[in-house]
Amino acid sequence: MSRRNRKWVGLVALVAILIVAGLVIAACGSSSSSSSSSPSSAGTPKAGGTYNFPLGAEPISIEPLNTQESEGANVEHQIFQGLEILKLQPDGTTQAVPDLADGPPQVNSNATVFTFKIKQGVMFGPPVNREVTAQDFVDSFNYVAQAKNQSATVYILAPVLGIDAKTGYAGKNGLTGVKALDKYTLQITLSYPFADFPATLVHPITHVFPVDYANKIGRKAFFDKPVGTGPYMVQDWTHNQSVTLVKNPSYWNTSGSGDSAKPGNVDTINMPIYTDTSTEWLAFQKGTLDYSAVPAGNVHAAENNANVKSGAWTAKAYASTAVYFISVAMNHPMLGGANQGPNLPIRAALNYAADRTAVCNIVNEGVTIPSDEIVPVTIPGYKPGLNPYPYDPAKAQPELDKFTGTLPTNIPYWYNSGSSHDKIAQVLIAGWTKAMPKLSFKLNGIETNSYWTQCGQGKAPALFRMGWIADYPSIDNFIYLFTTQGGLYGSYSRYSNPEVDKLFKQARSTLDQTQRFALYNQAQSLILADAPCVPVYTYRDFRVTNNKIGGFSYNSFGLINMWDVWVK
Amino acid sequence: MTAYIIRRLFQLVIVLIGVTFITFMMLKLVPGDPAVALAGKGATQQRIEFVRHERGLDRPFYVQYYKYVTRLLHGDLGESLYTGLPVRDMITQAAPVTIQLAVAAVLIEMLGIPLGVYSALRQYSFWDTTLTTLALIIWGIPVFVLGYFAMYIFGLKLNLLPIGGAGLPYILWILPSSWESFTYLILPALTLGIIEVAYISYMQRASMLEVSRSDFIRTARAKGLSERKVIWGHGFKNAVIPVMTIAGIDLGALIGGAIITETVFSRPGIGLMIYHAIGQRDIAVIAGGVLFATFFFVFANLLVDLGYAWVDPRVRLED
Amino acid sequence: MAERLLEVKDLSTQFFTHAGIVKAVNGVSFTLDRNETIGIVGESGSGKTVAALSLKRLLPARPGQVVEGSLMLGARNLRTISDDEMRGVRGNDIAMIFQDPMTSLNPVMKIGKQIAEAITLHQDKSKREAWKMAIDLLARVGIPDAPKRVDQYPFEFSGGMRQRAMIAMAISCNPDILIADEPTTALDVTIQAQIIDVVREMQAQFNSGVILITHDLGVIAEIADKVMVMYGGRTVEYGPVDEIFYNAHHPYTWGLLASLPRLDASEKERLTPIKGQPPNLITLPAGCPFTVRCPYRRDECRDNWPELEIVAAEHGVHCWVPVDERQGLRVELPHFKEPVA
Repeated sequence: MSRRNRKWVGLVALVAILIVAGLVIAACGSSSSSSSSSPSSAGTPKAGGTYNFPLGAEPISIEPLNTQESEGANVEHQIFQGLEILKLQPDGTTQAVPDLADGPPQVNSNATVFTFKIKQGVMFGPPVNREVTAQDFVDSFNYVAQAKNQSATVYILAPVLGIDAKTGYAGKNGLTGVKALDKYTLQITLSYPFADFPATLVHPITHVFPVDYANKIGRKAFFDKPVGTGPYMVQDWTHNQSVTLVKNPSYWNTSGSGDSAKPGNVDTINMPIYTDTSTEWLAFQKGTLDYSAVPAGNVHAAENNANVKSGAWTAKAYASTAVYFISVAMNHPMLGGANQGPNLPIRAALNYAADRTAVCNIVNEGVTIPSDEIVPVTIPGYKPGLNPYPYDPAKAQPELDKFTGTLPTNIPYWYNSGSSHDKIAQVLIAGWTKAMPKLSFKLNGIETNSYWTQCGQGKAPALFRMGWIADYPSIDNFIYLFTTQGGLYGSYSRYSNPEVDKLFKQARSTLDQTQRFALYNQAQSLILADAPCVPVYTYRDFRVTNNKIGGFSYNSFGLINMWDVWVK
Repeated sequence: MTAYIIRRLFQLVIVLIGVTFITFMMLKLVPGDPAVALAGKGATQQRIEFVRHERGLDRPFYVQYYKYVTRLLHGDLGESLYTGLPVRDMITQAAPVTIQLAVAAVLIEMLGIPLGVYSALRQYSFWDTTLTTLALIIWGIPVFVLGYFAMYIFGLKLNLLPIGGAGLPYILWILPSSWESFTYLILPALTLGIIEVAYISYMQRASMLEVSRSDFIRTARAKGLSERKVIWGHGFKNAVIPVMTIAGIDLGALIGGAIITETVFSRPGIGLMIYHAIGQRDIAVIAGGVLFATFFFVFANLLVDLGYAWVDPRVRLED
Repeated sequence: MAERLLEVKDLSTQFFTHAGIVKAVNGVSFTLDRNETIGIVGESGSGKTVAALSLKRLLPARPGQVVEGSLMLGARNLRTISDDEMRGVRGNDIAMIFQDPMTSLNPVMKIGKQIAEAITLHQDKSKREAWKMAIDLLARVGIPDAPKRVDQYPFEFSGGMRQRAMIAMAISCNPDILIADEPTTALDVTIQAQIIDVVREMQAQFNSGVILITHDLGVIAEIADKVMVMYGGRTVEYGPVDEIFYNAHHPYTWGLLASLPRLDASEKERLTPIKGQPPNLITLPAGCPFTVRCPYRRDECRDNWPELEIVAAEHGVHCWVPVDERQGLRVELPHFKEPVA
């Protein structure tokens, strides 16, 4: 190419770069002034309008049978109701309170039989329009527990009498433990004591739906347009594109009494599906959405956004009920073995030197909360200060010196690839090796599905990354992870301590809440002293909301009571 | 020509059979156990085994494959492991969204041909250098970056077009039913198309330059033909043949690009369906989606080849 | 005296490339009369093809340019006429057939259309008439089954057939001048003779002047009336064909003749190649371009271009070797010896 031509190329490239750069600068410089609404003020809820709430993925299901991930749960939450409902408490915890149940259940002395009174006048929405009776609960429970309906969340019903422990589904005779004593009395018998059982009744799989109607229109039709008792009903579900909910015109709780959902304010809830968070965030900025998650790396930018500063939007991290921890393979001799055995100093030292704050700040943009406990702060019964090896890097090396054997090198640390687990590992290892220079680790990222399969089979050799999201607001959900059974199927740590199992069992049969929490926490103290894991943090969900919407709340299960929101 | 078409259709069937096999093979070889995911959280080993048996996942691979192909022959693509929806319905619903995008992108892509010819005819001129440099720059930008950038500028800053979505429903299966529906198509189609425009125009330019140096172009000039007739009558047809071949092969890239484009733009097409299904290890849906994508690819290639045969007598008359 | 068709005077053509100016043709002059055939011989790179392309303004547009000389086609100067006029000249007055018939035809256009296209362009003929003429022309150049062949594509033709088709195309508009640029090089020997025959027949039919460009003196001997020998973009010698063959004066011509196979030559004498490489056209010496390879070079050769020296009727040569010395040298050369009986 001649010199002249080369000059042209250079010039054109330069011009092109300048144009692009100009566009970027212009775009960054001009702050979007789309929203002029004032910061959220109390105001009186107003009826009408549309709430635009994005779903991060196509829901797997929006009916009780199979609702599992947060997208489906937020749709289901507006349509269906059960005996209990989640209620956000002033202290930030989320508790189960009676919904369709008329008050708390009567419980027998060893916490195996729960008798609920059902509210009268509860109606299924159109086109069913019929009152809900105790029999409807019996039918619903039996429907979802049937093996042929292949629910993925049937494990919630595991305590109920009639569930086949082998398959996890209802046995031959159905759910014998669920009975309608009369039109408004429902009795649930468990196969083992479980005082916190009512907390499980917030889960979608326990919600009531018209089984006769579902059978009449067929599995597929009910999947697409299920009917419940909630304040909203499905108008349309265009798969992979959007779900549209409209007000249930015959919603039963017109008086808005109790903790049950009030009649909805907005006429329509529009739930478009945005599979990509960056796109969702752009659409929110454009004003198409009233709520948005923020793509990784954009949290600080969102917090400093002009609209957030002016009060037009709210950017906030909401604590959830999920924990992140590093499990120890107790079945493997490198770090495992006897709970108070020779390897305990290593495990304790790892707890001392785990720089949880660095993880939260460096990797998670300050969204997560550092935690050295198994139970998240949002769960009723949470008690701080139980870990005997809290963060104190100075104590790590002395603790490690108590170890008398040959110090392991290249300690395997497994994580599932994707997300930021590799970065978290790097930050933790940096803290560990700084406090204990003789330790060395070997990172191993494994494809997610394969990872869980192998961890489930107990193949992880030393350290591996774990997480746990509560299914219902009970401390039991977390302590279970480190019972003998939970060690196999929950934390995959293969941890087993007969003392813990005993306390856990005892707690489950204790009706008094204060005593029960004390027993659970006693168990937690024992677990933490054995250090079968390194707790790292409690998750929070960072969300930006538009303040032209009033009545917004976000509970620790990521659910929004959309009947409360209203358009200013 | 008829023999040619029949032969190509026969090839199509073989390719589809091969694809079902390869897809199945791939899913079997990939590590990880779908039964673990299906059994739900905290499932006991017993429950996992039960679920595995219930869903037929414990059958030997060839039995699963045989059952799959048998059902396929009856037009049954199976059901999603997660939602229980028939895969055929999922595809019927998603296909128009993808096909609309692909067709629009191909139409935009065709712009590359005149641009390339223009560049070639004015080799080393300002516009040639501009177009060629721009083509190289655009060609190097990943689809998702271009997608976000386009959404940022046209969706957010200029507030002209919607961000994400498919603009359903369509008329005549793939045509936008309204101006609003059409606006949903513009950004994704441009994003996907413009990269192809860059590619095609670059190839068309190279091809045109090569042809314009060939002997038969000199012959055409020697006959006293006007430049216009030399370029369009003799040069263009020859220059477009290699570009058509490239465009045909490129359709594969277009489908690959559609997966990313659909994810970025939240377009509920086949690409997005496969993307989700891969995450959920939903074998039936992946197999169905890949089967559809292959069918689309092979069929589109057949069309390209027919066009190729139409343009080039050497292909058409060989048999 | 025959009608003068073409008079080329001092033609110089140069290519302006990144590496430098390629002086492809340097002051070449020749004439062509009706019914006459001029053979232009020389190695590849001697400028013979460029000279022909200069006539038709078919040089690659950017780098190639005629920088000097007059190209008179009758009363028209081909250097100065407009592009439009030139297009008329290309089809009507000067037709050309090219070296490689395999690539010189459009592969995706029917043979008939490629011929008819030129006819409809230059003559007032309908498409149907042109098509008929194409069939007729194909038949005349010796293509059997022309009505069927006219409907075929080049890839269905053999090399010889394609060259015939090229000739048919070239003569379709009764051109005064037919330039044949190495028309037989790419063909095998038996086909070569047939093609030469076709050219000769066509010339006889249309009374054209033919410019035959070749490096093959055998072809020249067969068809040409006069010969121009080119080397390094210059005419080193020209003259009637017999003069060149039997009374050559330039050492390069001798070299060409020596490389011509002779049936009567002994094994040892056969095919004496000219030693050395063809000249670099960018760094040509001011004088005789053959200097470097010339066994008889002398001091003045490199820097001074010798004046034209007329050695016989219509026979000129540019050489510094004095004429009598040349004659002496030539007598010594094996190819100019009388065959031993």
